[in-house]
Amino acid sequence: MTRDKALSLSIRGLSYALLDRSKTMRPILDNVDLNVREGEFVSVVGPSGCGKSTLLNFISNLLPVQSGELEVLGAPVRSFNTKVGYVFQQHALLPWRSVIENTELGLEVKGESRDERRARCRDVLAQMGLAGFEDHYPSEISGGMRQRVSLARTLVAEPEFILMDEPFGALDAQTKVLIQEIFLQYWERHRRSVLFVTHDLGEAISLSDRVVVMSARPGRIIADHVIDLPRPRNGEKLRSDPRFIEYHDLLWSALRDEAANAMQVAQ
Amino acid sequence: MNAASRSNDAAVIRISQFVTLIGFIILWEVSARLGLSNVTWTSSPFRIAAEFWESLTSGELPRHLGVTLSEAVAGLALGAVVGILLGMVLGVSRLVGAIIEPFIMALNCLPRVALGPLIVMYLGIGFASKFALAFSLVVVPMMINVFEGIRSTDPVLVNLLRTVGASRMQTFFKLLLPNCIPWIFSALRVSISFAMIGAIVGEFISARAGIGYMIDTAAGAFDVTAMLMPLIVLMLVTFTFDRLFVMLRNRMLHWRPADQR
Ligand SMILES: Nc1ncnc2c1ncn2[C@@H]1O[C@H](COP(=O)(O)OP(=O)(O)OP(=O)(O)O)[C@@H](O)[C@H]1O
Ligand SMILES: [Mg+2]
Repeated sequence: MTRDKALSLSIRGLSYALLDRSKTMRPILDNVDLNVREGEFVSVVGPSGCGKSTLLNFISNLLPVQSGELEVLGAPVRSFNTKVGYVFQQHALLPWRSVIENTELGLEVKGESRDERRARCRDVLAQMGLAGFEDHYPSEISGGMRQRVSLARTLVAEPEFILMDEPFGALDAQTKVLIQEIFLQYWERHRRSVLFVTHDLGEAISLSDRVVVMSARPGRIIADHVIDLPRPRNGEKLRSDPRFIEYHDLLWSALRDEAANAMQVAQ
Repeated sequence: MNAASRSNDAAVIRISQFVTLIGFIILWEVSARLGLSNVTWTSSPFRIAAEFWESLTSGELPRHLGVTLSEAVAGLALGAVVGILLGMVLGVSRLVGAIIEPFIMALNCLPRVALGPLIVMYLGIGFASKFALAFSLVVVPMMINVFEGIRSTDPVLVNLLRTVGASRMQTFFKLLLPNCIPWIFSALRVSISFAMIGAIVGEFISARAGIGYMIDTAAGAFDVTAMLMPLIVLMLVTFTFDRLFVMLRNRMLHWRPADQR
Protein backbone atom coordinates (compact mmCIF):
# COMPACT_ATOMS: atom_id res chain seq x y z
CA MET A 1 0.00 0.00 0.00
CA THR A 2 0.96 3.65 -0.12
CA ARG A 3 1.40 3.79 3.65
CA ASP A 4 5.18 3.65 3.49
CA LYS A 5 5.33 6.67 1.21
CA ALA A 6 6.82 9.91 2.55
CA LEU A 7 4.49 12.26 4.38
CA SER A 8 3.88 15.72 2.95
CA LEU A 9 2.14 16.74 6.14
CA SER A 10 2.27 15.37 9.62
CA ILE A 11 0.37 17.05 12.45
CA ARG A 12 0.46 15.68 16.01
CA GLY A 13 -1.64 17.16 18.78
CA LEU A 14 -1.91 20.63 17.32
CA SER A 15 -3.91 22.91 19.61
CA TYR A 16 -4.51 26.60 19.44
CA ALA A 17 -6.30 29.08 21.65
CA LEU A 18 -6.49 32.82 21.55
CA LEU A 19 -7.62 35.60 23.84
CA ASP A 20 -11.02 36.85 22.84
CA ARG A 21 -12.45 40.27 23.54
CA SER A 22 -13.48 39.42 27.08
CA LYS A 23 -9.85 38.37 27.80
CA THR A 24 -10.67 34.70 28.20
CA MET A 25 -8.74 32.03 26.34
CA ARG A 26 -10.89 30.63 23.58
CA PRO A 27 -9.85 27.27 22.13
CA ILE A 28 -9.89 27.21 18.32
CA LEU A 29 -8.14 23.93 17.51
CA ASP A 30 -8.15 21.00 19.89
CA ASN A 31 -5.54 18.29 19.57
CA VAL A 32 -5.63 17.89 15.80
CA ASP A 33 -3.86 14.88 14.27
CA LEU A 34 -3.62 14.75 10.51
CA ASN A 35 -1.34 13.19 7.88
CA VAL A 36 -1.19 13.80 4.16
CA ARG A 37 0.90 11.34 2.18
CA GLU A 38 2.94 12.35 -0.81
CA GLY A 39 0.65 12.67 -3.83
CA GLU A 40 -2.49 12.32 -1.75
CA PHE A 41 -5.54 14.53 -2.14
CA VAL A 42 -7.15 15.14 1.25
CA SER A 43 -10.21 17.28 1.85
CA VAL A 44 -11.24 18.85 5.14
CA VAL A 45 -14.90 19.56 5.76
CA GLY A 46 -16.33 21.11 8.88
CA PRO A 47 -18.82 23.69 10.09
CA SER A 48 -18.10 27.35 9.58
CA GLY A 49 -15.72 28.79 12.16
CA CYS A 50 -14.29 25.44 13.26
CA GLY A 51 -10.72 26.47 12.44
CA LYS A 52 -10.12 25.15 8.90
CA SER A 53 -8.48 28.34 7.62
CA THR A 54 -6.55 28.57 10.88
CA LEU A 55 -5.22 25.07 10.27
CA LEU A 56 -3.97 26.03 6.80
CA ASN A 57 -2.39 29.18 8.23
CA PHE A 58 -0.32 27.03 10.58
CA ILE A 59 0.82 24.77 7.77
CA SER A 60 1.85 27.75 5.62
CA ASN A 61 3.70 29.43 8.52
CA LEU A 62 1.34 32.42 8.63
CA LEU A 63 0.69 31.48 12.28
CA PRO A 64 3.40 30.24 14.67
CA VAL A 65 2.72 26.88 16.32
CA GLN A 66 1.47 27.25 19.90
CA SER A 67 1.42 23.63 20.99
CA GLY A 68 1.80 20.36 19.17
CA GLU A 69 4.02 19.17 16.35
CA LEU A 70 3.84 20.14 12.72
CA GLU A 71 6.04 18.84 9.93
CA VAL A 72 5.62 19.89 6.32
CA LEU A 73 7.53 18.08 3.54
CA GLY A 74 9.57 16.29 6.16
CA ALA A 75 10.72 19.28 8.19
CA PRO A 76 9.31 21.38 11.03
CA VAL A 77 7.81 24.66 9.83
CA ARG A 78 10.15 27.56 10.60
CA SER A 79 9.86 29.82 7.59
CA PHE A 80 7.83 30.29 4.43
CA ASN A 81 8.40 27.38 2.11
CA THR A 82 7.96 28.14 -1.58
CA LYS A 83 7.38 24.42 -2.17
CA VAL A 84 4.07 24.90 -0.36
CA GLY A 85 1.42 26.66 -2.45
CA TYR A 86 -1.56 28.38 -0.87
CA VAL A 87 -4.78 29.20 -2.71
CA PHE A 88 -6.62 31.60 -0.42
CA GLN A 89 -10.31 31.69 0.38
CA GLN A 90 -10.36 35.13 -1.33
CA HIS A 91 -8.76 35.25 -4.78
CA ALA A 92 -6.16 37.75 -3.49
CA LEU A 93 -5.17 39.24 -6.86
CA LEU A 94 -3.20 42.48 -7.00
CA PRO A 95 -5.62 44.84 -8.78
CA TRP A 96 -2.88 46.83 -10.51
CA ARG A 97 -1.36 43.74 -12.10
CA SER A 98 -2.71 42.14 -15.24
CA VAL A 99 -3.71 38.48 -15.28
CA ILE A 100 -0.28 37.33 -16.41
CA GLU A 101 1.54 39.67 -14.03
CA ASN A 102 -0.50 38.27 -11.17
CA THR A 103 0.22 34.73 -12.28
CA GLU A 104 3.98 35.29 -12.37
CA LEU A 105 4.19 36.85 -8.89
CA GLY A 106 5.69 33.78 -7.21
CA LEU A 107 8.21 33.17 -9.99
CA GLU A 108 9.14 36.84 -10.01
CA VAL A 109 9.79 36.82 -6.27
CA LYS A 110 12.03 33.77 -6.77
CA GLY A 111 14.00 35.73 -9.35
CA GLU A 112 13.18 33.68 -12.42
CA SER A 113 13.92 35.39 -15.74
CA ARG A 114 11.06 37.28 -17.32
CA ASP A 115 10.95 35.34 -20.57
CA GLU A 116 10.93 32.00 -18.84
CA ARG A 117 8.23 32.88 -16.33
CA ARG A 118 6.05 34.47 -19.00
CA ALA A 119 6.23 31.32 -21.10
CA ARG A 120 5.31 29.12 -18.15
CA CYS A 121 2.47 31.41 -17.10
CA ARG A 122 1.02 31.49 -20.61
CA ASP A 123 1.03 27.73 -20.60
CA VAL A 124 -0.76 27.33 -17.27
CA LEU A 125 -3.24 30.12 -18.06
CA ALA A 126 -4.10 28.33 -21.30
CA GLN A 127 -4.75 25.13 -19.33
CA MET A 128 -7.10 27.11 -17.09
CA GLY A 129 -8.97 28.33 -20.15
CA LEU A 130 -7.66 31.86 -19.82
CA ALA A 131 -5.77 32.17 -23.10
CA GLY A 132 -6.43 35.63 -24.55
CA PHE A 133 -7.02 37.21 -21.13
CA GLU A 134 -3.35 37.57 -20.14
CA ASP A 135 -3.37 41.35 -20.37
CA HIS A 136 -6.75 41.97 -18.71
CA TYR A 137 -6.86 43.44 -15.22
CA PRO A 138 -8.71 41.67 -12.38
CA SER A 139 -11.46 44.32 -12.51
CA GLU A 140 -12.10 43.37 -16.13
CA ILE A 141 -12.71 39.64 -15.66
CA SER A 142 -15.42 37.59 -13.96
CA GLY A 143 -15.26 36.13 -10.46
CA GLY A 144 -14.76 32.62 -11.85
CA MET A 145 -11.87 33.81 -13.97
CA ARG A 146 -10.25 35.56 -11.00
CA GLN A 147 -10.43 32.33 -9.07
CA ARG A 148 -8.74 30.51 -11.95
CA VAL A 149 -5.99 33.14 -12.08
CA SER A 150 -5.41 32.64 -8.38
CA LEU A 151 -5.23 28.88 -8.99
CA ALA A 152 -2.86 29.36 -11.94
CA ARG A 153 -0.61 31.58 -9.83
CA THR A 154 -0.21 28.77 -7.30
CA LEU A 155 0.15 25.94 -9.83
CA VAL A 156 2.72 27.68 -12.03
CA ALA A 157 5.19 27.71 -9.14
CA GLU A 158 4.98 23.89 -9.17
CA PRO A 159 4.49 23.45 -5.42
CA GLU A 160 4.97 19.99 -3.97
CA PHE A 161 2.17 20.53 -1.49
CA ILE A 162 -0.88 22.67 -2.22
CA LEU A 163 -3.15 24.19 0.42
CA MET A 164 -6.54 25.23 -0.90
CA ASP A 165 -9.07 27.13 1.19
CA GLU A 166 -12.53 26.87 -0.34
CA PRO A 167 -11.05 27.90 -3.68
CA PHE A 168 -14.33 27.38 -5.51
CA GLY A 169 -16.61 28.44 -2.67
CA ALA A 170 -17.67 31.77 -4.11
CA LEU A 171 -18.56 30.46 -7.57
CA ASP A 172 -21.95 29.73 -9.09
CA ALA A 173 -22.78 26.04 -9.52
CA GLN A 174 -22.00 25.80 -13.25
CA THR A 175 -18.70 27.67 -13.11
CA LYS A 176 -17.74 25.61 -10.12
CA VAL A 177 -18.25 22.34 -11.95
CA LEU A 178 -16.15 23.55 -14.89
CA ILE A 179 -13.27 24.72 -12.73
CA GLN A 180 -13.38 21.51 -10.68
CA GLU A 181 -13.03 19.53 -13.92
CA ILE A 182 -10.05 21.65 -15.02
CA PHE A 183 -8.39 21.26 -11.66
CA LEU A 184 -9.13 17.54 -11.44
CA GLN A 185 -7.48 16.99 -14.82
CA TYR A 186 -4.46 19.01 -13.78
CA TRP A 187 -4.21 17.10 -10.53
CA GLU A 188 -4.56 13.66 -12.09
CA ARG A 189 -1.68 14.54 -14.44
CA HIS A 190 0.66 15.91 -11.76
CA ARG A 191 -0.42 14.18 -8.52
CA ARG A 192 0.75 16.80 -6.06
CA SER A 193 -0.16 16.50 -2.39
CA VAL A 194 -3.23 18.61 -1.67
CA LEU A 195 -5.03 19.68 1.48
CA PHE A 196 -8.37 21.02 0.33
CA VAL A 197 -10.85 22.85 2.56
CA THR A 198 -14.46 22.95 1.44
CA HIS A 199 -18.04 23.12 2.65
CA ASP A 200 -19.25 21.11 -0.29
CA LEU A 201 -19.38 17.37 0.46
CA GLY A 202 -19.92 16.48 -3.20
CA GLU A 203 -16.85 18.44 -4.15
CA ALA A 204 -14.81 16.79 -1.40
CA ILE A 205 -15.84 13.28 -2.47
CA SER A 206 -15.39 13.78 -6.19
CA LEU A 207 -11.89 15.25 -5.86
CA SER A 208 -10.34 13.47 -2.90
CA ASP A 209 -8.56 10.30 -1.92
CA ARG A 210 -9.58 10.95 1.67
CA VAL A 211 -12.04 13.22 3.43
CA VAL A 212 -11.66 14.26 7.07
CA VAL A 213 -14.44 15.86 9.08
CA MET A 214 -13.78 18.48 11.72
CA SER A 215 -15.99 19.17 14.73
CA ALA A 216 -17.51 22.54 15.57
CA ARG A 217 -15.12 24.90 17.37
CA PRO A 218 -12.79 23.95 18.96
CA GLY A 219 -11.93 21.96 15.86
CA ARG A 220 -11.00 18.28 16.22
CA ILE A 221 -10.86 15.57 13.59
CA ILE A 222 -13.98 13.45 14.20
CA ALA A 223 -14.07 11.30 11.07
CA ASP A 224 -11.62 10.20 8.40
CA HIS A 225 -12.85 8.31 5.33
CA VAL A 226 -10.89 6.93 2.38
CA ILE A 227 -12.78 7.62 -0.85
CA ASP A 228 -12.24 4.48 -2.84
CA LEU A 229 -13.46 5.56 -6.26
CA PRO A 230 -11.51 4.84 -9.45
CA ARG A 231 -9.51 7.55 -11.25
CA PRO A 232 -9.51 9.28 -13.61
CA ARG A 233 -12.80 10.55 -12.32
CA ASN A 234 -15.56 12.31 -14.06
CA GLY A 235 -17.37 14.59 -11.63
CA GLU A 236 -20.73 14.44 -13.31
CA LYS A 237 -20.90 10.68 -13.79
CA LEU A 238 -19.64 10.16 -10.26
CA ARG A 239 -22.60 11.89 -8.72
CA SER A 240 -25.00 9.15 -9.80
CA ASP A 241 -22.63 6.36 -8.64
CA PRO A 242 -24.20 4.50 -5.66
CA ARG A 243 -20.88 4.57 -3.80
CA PHE A 244 -20.76 8.35 -4.14
CA ILE A 245 -24.16 8.56 -2.50
CA GLU A 246 -23.03 6.18 0.25
CA TYR A 247 -19.99 8.33 1.01
CA HIS A 248 -22.16 11.40 0.97
CA ASP A 249 -24.55 9.94 3.55
CA LEU A 250 -21.67 8.74 5.68
CA LEU A 251 -19.98 12.16 5.76
CA TRP A 252 -23.21 14.03 6.14
CA SER A 253 -24.25 12.03 9.20
CA ALA A 254 -20.89 12.89 10.80
CA LEU A 255 -21.22 16.53 9.87
CA ARG A 256 -24.87 17.18 10.59
CA ASP A 257 -24.66 17.17 14.38
CA GLU A 258 -21.56 19.35 14.26
CA ALA A 259 -23.19 21.85 11.95
CA ALA A 260 -26.15 22.04 14.33
CA ASN A 261 -23.74 22.47 17.25
CA ALA A 262 -21.89 25.24 15.45
CA MET A 263 -25.13 27.10 14.83
CA GLN A 264 -25.98 26.84 18.51
CA VAL A 265 -22.55 28.07 19.59
CA ALA A 266 -22.99 31.02 17.29
CA GLN A 267 -26.34 31.92 18.88
CA MET B 1 -24.87 52.57 -18.55
CA ASN B 2 -23.78 52.18 -22.15
CA ALA B 3 -20.92 54.00 -23.82
CA ALA B 4 -23.12 56.20 -26.00
CA SER B 5 -25.18 57.61 -23.13
CA ARG B 6 -22.00 58.08 -21.09
CA SER B 7 -20.34 60.15 -23.80
CA ASN B 8 -23.66 61.98 -24.11
CA ASP B 9 -23.47 62.79 -20.40
CA ALA B 10 -19.89 63.98 -20.82
CA ALA B 11 -20.98 66.39 -23.55
CA VAL B 12 -23.87 67.69 -21.43
CA ILE B 13 -21.48 68.25 -18.51
CA ARG B 14 -18.94 70.12 -20.65
CA ILE B 15 -21.53 72.34 -22.30
CA SER B 16 -23.21 73.17 -18.97
CA GLN B 17 -19.86 74.08 -17.46
CA PHE B 18 -18.98 76.32 -20.38
CA VAL B 19 -22.37 78.05 -20.32
CA THR B 20 -22.13 78.64 -16.56
CA LEU B 21 -18.69 80.19 -16.88
CA ILE B 22 -19.54 82.45 -19.81
CA GLY B 23 -22.86 83.37 -18.21
CA PHE B 24 -21.12 84.41 -15.01
CA ILE B 25 -18.59 86.56 -16.86
CA ILE B 26 -21.25 88.24 -19.00
CA LEU B 27 -23.46 88.92 -15.99
CA TRP B 28 -20.54 90.46 -14.13
CA GLU B 29 -19.55 92.63 -17.08
CA VAL B 30 -23.10 93.77 -17.86
CA SER B 31 -23.89 94.64 -14.27
CA ALA B 32 -20.67 96.69 -14.15
CA ARG B 33 -21.52 98.51 -17.39
CA LEU B 34 -25.10 99.23 -16.34
CA GLY B 35 -23.91 100.54 -13.00
CA LEU B 36 -25.67 97.77 -11.08
CA SER B 37 -22.40 96.97 -9.37
CA ASN B 38 -19.73 99.41 -8.29
CA VAL B 39 -16.52 98.79 -10.24
CA THR B 40 -14.47 100.35 -7.43
CA TRP B 41 -15.46 97.39 -5.25
CA THR B 42 -16.00 94.54 -7.65
CA SER B 43 -14.15 95.59 -10.82
CA SER B 44 -15.21 93.93 -14.09
CA PRO B 45 -13.98 91.17 -16.39
CA PHE B 46 -12.96 93.69 -19.02
CA ARG B 47 -10.89 95.74 -16.57
CA ILE B 48 -9.25 92.64 -15.21
CA ALA B 49 -8.43 91.44 -18.73
CA ALA B 50 -6.94 94.83 -19.61
CA GLU B 51 -4.92 94.84 -16.39
CA PHE B 52 -3.76 91.31 -17.19
CA TRP B 53 -2.63 92.26 -20.67
CA GLU B 54 -0.76 95.31 -19.49
CA SER B 55 0.97 93.44 -16.68
CA LEU B 56 1.80 90.55 -18.96
CA THR B 57 3.36 92.68 -21.71
CA SER B 58 5.29 94.82 -19.26
CA GLY B 59 6.79 91.64 -17.79
CA GLU B 60 5.55 92.43 -14.27
CA LEU B 61 3.13 89.51 -14.01
CA PRO B 62 5.52 86.85 -15.36
CA ARG B 63 8.20 88.01 -12.93
CA HIS B 64 5.95 87.89 -9.85
CA LEU B 65 4.25 84.69 -10.91
CA GLY B 66 7.66 83.09 -11.45
CA VAL B 67 8.70 84.02 -7.92
CA THR B 68 5.56 82.61 -6.29
CA LEU B 69 5.56 79.47 -8.41
CA SER B 70 9.19 78.66 -7.67
CA GLU B 71 8.52 79.03 -3.93
CA ALA B 72 5.35 76.94 -4.01
CA VAL B 73 6.57 74.24 -6.37
CA ALA B 74 9.88 73.85 -4.51
CA GLY B 75 7.96 73.60 -1.23
CA LEU B 76 5.56 71.09 -2.76
CA ALA B 77 8.35 68.98 -4.24
CA LEU B 78 10.43 68.72 -1.10
CA GLY B 79 7.33 68.45 1.09
CA ALA B 80 6.01 65.61 -1.05
CA VAL B 81 9.29 63.70 -1.06
CA VAL B 82 9.84 64.07 2.68
CA GLY B 83 6.16 63.45 3.47
CA ILE B 84 6.03 60.30 1.35
CA LEU B 85 9.21 58.93 2.94
CA LEU B 86 8.04 59.72 6.47
CA GLY B 87 4.62 58.24 5.77
CA MET B 88 6.24 55.05 4.53
CA VAL B 89 8.50 54.75 7.55
CA LEU B 90 5.52 55.26 9.83
CA GLY B 91 3.37 52.82 7.89
CA VAL B 92 5.99 50.09 7.60
CA SER B 93 7.50 50.22 11.07
CA ARG B 94 4.79 49.65 13.60
CA LEU B 95 7.07 50.64 16.48
CA VAL B 96 8.36 53.90 15.01
CA GLY B 97 4.84 54.66 13.83
CA ALA B 98 3.35 54.17 17.28
CA ILE B 99 6.04 56.30 18.93
CA ILE B 100 5.90 59.36 16.72
CA GLU B 101 2.25 59.32 15.65
CA PRO B 102 0.98 61.66 18.43
CA PHE B 103 3.78 64.16 17.76
CA ILE B 104 2.92 64.28 14.10
CA MET B 105 -0.78 64.71 14.79
CA ALA B 106 -0.03 67.48 17.31
CA LEU B 107 2.08 69.23 14.67
CA ASN B 108 -0.79 68.85 12.26
CA CYS B 109 -3.08 70.57 14.76
CA LEU B 110 -0.78 73.57 14.83
CA PRO B 111 -2.18 76.31 12.57
CA ARG B 112 0.99 76.37 10.52
CA VAL B 113 0.38 79.63 8.66
CA ALA B 114 0.67 81.21 12.10
CA LEU B 115 4.29 80.07 12.05
CA GLY B 116 4.81 82.52 9.18
CA PRO B 117 6.14 85.49 11.17
CA LEU B 118 8.52 83.20 13.06
CA ILE B 119 9.82 81.59 9.88
CA VAL B 120 10.33 85.00 8.25
CA MET B 121 12.23 86.07 11.36
CA TYR B 122 14.50 83.06 11.10
CA LEU B 123 14.97 82.84 7.34
CA GLY B 124 14.57 86.41 6.12
CA ILE B 125 12.20 87.86 3.58
CA GLY B 126 13.55 86.08 0.49
CA PHE B 127 12.84 82.72 -1.14
CA ALA B 128 13.79 80.56 1.85
CA SER B 129 11.01 81.65 4.20
CA LYS B 130 8.22 81.16 1.62
CA PHE B 131 9.65 77.85 0.56
CA ALA B 132 9.80 76.74 4.21
CA LEU B 133 6.22 77.83 4.85
CA ALA B 134 4.95 75.98 1.77
CA PHE B 135 6.96 72.92 2.80
CA SER B 136 5.54 72.96 6.33
CA LEU B 137 1.98 73.04 4.98
CA VAL B 138 2.55 70.21 2.52
CA VAL B 139 4.62 67.70 4.43
CA VAL B 140 2.08 66.63 7.06
CA PRO B 141 -0.91 65.90 4.80
CA MET B 142 1.38 64.04 2.41
CA MET B 143 2.71 61.97 5.25
CA ILE B 144 -0.70 61.20 6.75
CA ASN B 145 -2.07 60.11 3.40
CA VAL B 146 0.82 57.78 2.63
CA PHE B 147 0.60 56.39 6.15
CA GLU B 148 -3.10 55.66 5.66
CA GLY B 149 -2.37 54.20 2.22
CA ILE B 150 0.09 51.73 3.69
CA ARG B 151 -2.15 50.84 6.59
CA SER B 152 -5.10 50.23 4.29
CA THR B 153 -3.26 47.41 2.52
CA ASP B 154 -5.44 44.30 2.44
CA PRO B 155 -3.99 41.84 5.00
CA VAL B 156 -4.86 38.96 2.68
CA LEU B 157 -2.49 40.42 0.10
CA VAL B 158 0.22 40.83 2.74
CA ASN B 159 -0.23 37.14 3.58
CA LEU B 160 -0.06 36.29 -0.11
CA LEU B 161 3.30 38.03 -0.47
CA ARG B 162 4.59 36.26 2.64
CA THR B 163 3.52 32.81 1.44
CA VAL B 164 5.22 33.23 -1.94
CA GLY B 165 8.40 33.97 -0.01
CA ALA B 166 8.71 37.72 -0.65
CA SER B 167 11.29 39.65 1.38
CA ARG B 168 10.26 42.82 3.21
CA MET B 169 11.78 44.82 0.37
CA GLN B 170 9.82 42.90 -2.26
CA THR B 171 6.62 43.25 -0.24
CA PHE B 172 7.22 46.97 -0.09
CA PHE B 173 7.83 47.48 -3.81
CA LYS B 174 5.32 44.98 -5.13
CA LEU B 175 2.47 45.66 -2.68
CA LEU B 176 2.72 48.56 -0.23
CA LEU B 177 4.00 51.17 -2.66
CA PRO B 178 1.57 50.51 -5.53
CA ASN B 179 -1.23 50.34 -2.98
CA CYS B 180 -0.51 53.93 -1.87
CA ILE B 181 -0.45 55.50 -5.34
CA PRO B 182 -4.08 56.70 -5.18
CA TRP B 183 -3.43 58.15 -1.71
CA ILE B 184 -0.30 59.93 -2.95
CA PHE B 185 -2.25 61.58 -5.74
CA SER B 186 -5.12 62.75 -3.58
CA ALA B 187 -2.52 64.19 -1.18
CA LEU B 188 -0.77 65.95 -4.07
CA ARG B 189 -4.02 67.52 -5.18
CA VAL B 190 -4.67 68.96 -1.72
CA SER B 191 -1.05 69.92 -1.32
CA ILE B 192 -0.67 72.08 -4.42
CA SER B 193 -3.13 74.62 -3.03
CA PHE B 194 -1.53 74.34 0.43
CA ALA B 195 1.83 75.12 -1.16
CA MET B 196 0.37 78.19 -2.88
CA ILE B 197 -1.20 79.33 0.40
CA GLY B 198 2.18 78.96 2.12
CA ALA B 199 3.97 81.03 -0.52
CA ILE B 200 1.29 83.76 -0.60
CA VAL B 201 1.05 84.07 3.19
CA GLY B 202 4.83 84.33 3.36
CA GLU B 203 4.70 87.11 0.79
CA PHE B 204 1.97 88.92 2.72
CA ILE B 205 4.13 88.93 5.80
CA SER B 206 7.09 90.42 4.04
CA ALA B 207 8.42 90.23 0.50
CA ARG B 208 9.75 92.20 -2.44
CA ALA B 209 8.17 90.12 -5.19
CA GLY B 210 5.52 87.50 -5.86
CA ILE B 211 1.77 87.31 -6.38
CA GLY B 212 1.17 87.94 -2.66
CA TYR B 213 3.34 91.04 -2.90
CA MET B 214 1.38 92.23 -5.98
CA ILE B 215 -1.92 91.80 -4.15
CA ASP B 216 -0.60 93.49 -1.02
CA THR B 217 0.69 96.48 -3.02
CA ALA B 218 -2.60 96.81 -4.93
CA ALA B 219 -4.52 96.67 -1.64
CA GLY B 220 -2.38 99.55 -0.37
CA ALA B 221 -3.44 101.54 -3.46
CA PHE B 222 -7.09 100.48 -3.02
CA ASP B 223 -7.04 99.02 -6.55
CA VAL B 224 -9.48 96.10 -6.63
CA THR B 225 -8.77 95.27 -10.27
CA ALA B 226 -5.06 94.95 -9.59
CA MET B 227 -5.86 92.74 -6.60
CA LEU B 228 -8.24 90.43 -8.41
CA MET B 229 -6.11 89.96 -11.54
CA PRO B 230 -3.13 88.15 -9.92
CA LEU B 231 -5.54 86.23 -7.71
CA ILE B 232 -7.41 84.85 -10.71
CA VAL B 233 -4.14 84.08 -12.52
CA LEU B 234 -2.91 82.14 -9.50
CA MET B 235 -6.18 80.27 -9.25
CA LEU B 236 -5.96 79.22 -12.89
CA VAL B 237 -2.35 78.13 -12.52
CA THR B 238 -3.15 76.06 -9.42
CA PHE B 239 -6.15 74.59 -11.18
CA THR B 240 -3.90 73.58 -14.09
CA PHE B 241 -1.62 71.76 -11.67
CA ASP B 242 -4.62 69.94 -10.25
CA ARG B 243 -5.73 68.83 -13.72
CA LEU B 244 -2.20 67.65 -14.47
CA PHE B 245 -2.20 65.55 -11.32
CA VAL B 246 -5.57 64.10 -12.26
CA MET B 247 -4.29 63.20 -15.73
CA LEU B 248 -1.17 61.62 -14.33
CA ARG B 249 -3.19 59.68 -11.77
CA ASN B 250 -5.60 58.37 -14.39
CA ARG B 251 -2.63 57.20 -16.37
CA MET B 252 -1.08 55.41 -13.42
CA LEU B 253 -4.41 53.94 -12.32
CA HIS B 254 -5.38 52.81 -15.82
CA TRP B 255 -6.10 49.38 -14.32
CA ARG B 256 -9.09 50.76 -12.45
CA PRO B 257 -12.47 51.04 -14.13
CA ALA B 258 -12.80 54.65 -15.35
CA ASP B 259 -15.48 55.58 -12.80
CA GLN B 260 -13.34 54.41 -9.85
CA ARG B 261 -10.18 56.34 -10.51
N1 LIG C 1 -7.93 37.22 14.63
C1 LIG C 1 -8.87 36.53 15.31
N2 LIG C 1 -9.32 36.98 16.49
C2 LIG C 1 -10.26 36.30 17.16
N3 LIG C 1 -10.81 35.18 16.72
C3 LIG C 1 -10.41 34.68 15.56
C4 LIG C 1 -9.42 35.34 14.77
N4 LIG C 1 -9.23 34.61 13.66
C5 LIG C 1 -10.05 33.57 13.75
N5 LIG C 1 -10.76 33.61 14.88
C6 LIG C 1 -11.72 32.60 15.34
O1 LIG C 1 -11.16 31.37 15.02
C7 LIG C 1 -12.16 30.46 14.60
C8 LIG C 1 -11.69 29.73 13.39
O2 LIG C 1 -11.61 30.61 12.30
P1 LIG C 1 -11.33 30.05 10.84
O3 LIG C 1 -11.25 31.24 9.95
O4 LIG C 1 -10.16 29.16 10.89
O5 LIG C 1 -12.64 29.22 10.56
P2 LIG C 1 -13.04 28.39 9.27
O6 LIG C 1 -13.24 26.99 9.69
O7 LIG C 1 -12.07 28.64 8.18
O8 LIG C 1 -14.45 29.03 8.90
P3 LIG C 1 -15.11 29.26 7.45
O9 LIG C 1 -15.55 27.91 7.00
O10 LIG C 1 -16.29 30.13 7.76
O11 LIG C 1 -14.09 29.88 6.58
C9 LIG C 1 -13.41 31.27 14.38
O12 LIG C 1 -14.37 30.87 15.31
C10 LIG C 1 -13.03 32.70 14.59
O13 LIG C 1 -14.01 33.32 15.39
MG1 LIG D 1 -12.14 29.68 6.38
